[in-house]
Amino acid sequence: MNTSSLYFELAAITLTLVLGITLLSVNLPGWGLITVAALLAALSFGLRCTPALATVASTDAASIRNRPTRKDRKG
Amino acid sequence: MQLDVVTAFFLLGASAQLLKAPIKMPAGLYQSLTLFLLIAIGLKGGIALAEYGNSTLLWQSLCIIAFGALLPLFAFPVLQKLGGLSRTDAASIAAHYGSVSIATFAVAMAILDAREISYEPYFPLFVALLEIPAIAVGLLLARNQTEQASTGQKTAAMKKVLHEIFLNQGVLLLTGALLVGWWAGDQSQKLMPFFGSLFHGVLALFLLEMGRLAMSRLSLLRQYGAFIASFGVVMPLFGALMGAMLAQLLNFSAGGTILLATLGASASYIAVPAAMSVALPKANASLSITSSLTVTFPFNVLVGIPLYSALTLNFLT
Repeated sequence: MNTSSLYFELAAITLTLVLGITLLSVNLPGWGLITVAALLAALSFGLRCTPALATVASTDAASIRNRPTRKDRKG
Repeated sequence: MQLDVVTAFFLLGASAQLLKAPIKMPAGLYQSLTLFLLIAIGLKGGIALAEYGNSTLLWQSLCIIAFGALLPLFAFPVLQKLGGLSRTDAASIAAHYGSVSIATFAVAMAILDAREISYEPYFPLFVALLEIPAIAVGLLLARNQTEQASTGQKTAAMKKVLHEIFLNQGVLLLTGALLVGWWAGDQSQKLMPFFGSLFHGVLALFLLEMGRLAMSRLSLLRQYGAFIASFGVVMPLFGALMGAMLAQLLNFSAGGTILLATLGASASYIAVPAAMSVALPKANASLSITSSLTVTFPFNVLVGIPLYSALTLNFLT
């Protein structure tokens, strides 16, 4: 996931949200677009958080694995 | 705007799948429903073509073909530059979005019929025309990937591709039924108690299965990322805008504008995947089907068509 795809996702969320609110303000069906904006935001945020957590977890596991043992400290 | 009754069946199928409830249609029945819808839409269009066909239809058809060829050219750079997809994947997905979905068109037609909004009855002709150009443009966009093959391999591959483009089930049945309806004219009315009266019921059954199919691929969105979901929402909105603008240029009625906006917004998930699997075997078929079937189809059915209808009826008429 690169930066340009993040910008595209943010633009898509903003577009659907603004369009939805505008439609609601003129008494047209806008809730669908607002719901879509919320789902896209949740997906974008959720998918960016999940690998980050996985990276943290793997870093922790690696640091535990590489932690000096008693034997190392003695040496 | 109230939810249409056929759309409610899509929601039922989708909810059942999300709740892991076992609604499973036999594969043969799903195939039969697809054949029924293609023939019913084609026949209806053919009968109208015999009645209303005139010289302006040729000009309109050329504009529609150009429209179908243009849409992938907008989608491709977005997918490649912003999405960071490979040239082959970007070209394949762009072709899906330039082509059309018969099911989405059937839903739009059913909604217009239910609300008694009139439209140009020969629209199925445009559906058949829109199936083809996007595939050709998609292949041109991906051409760098196929240049390495030898001339003999290229010729064999091209034959297969042309066969898939022009003789796939969707194009063949839709065009065939259109021609039969056009040739038979009023005689086709004998078939309409079956293909006309049962249309909405069959569409409801078909959408029940489509809801299940669309949601069964939902987990793949986690794998492909939020970009593809965002693209699956933005591209239909852009396609619908282009379609509505073209409909206004061609002086279509309000119903015709809604239908062309819907066609511009829809993405193929039957004809194009079959053609792309032959022409671009390296393209990720699962990625493009997930985008068109799991994101764009539900978006159009649940949000898009009511939106295009409301905007057209309130601002363009």
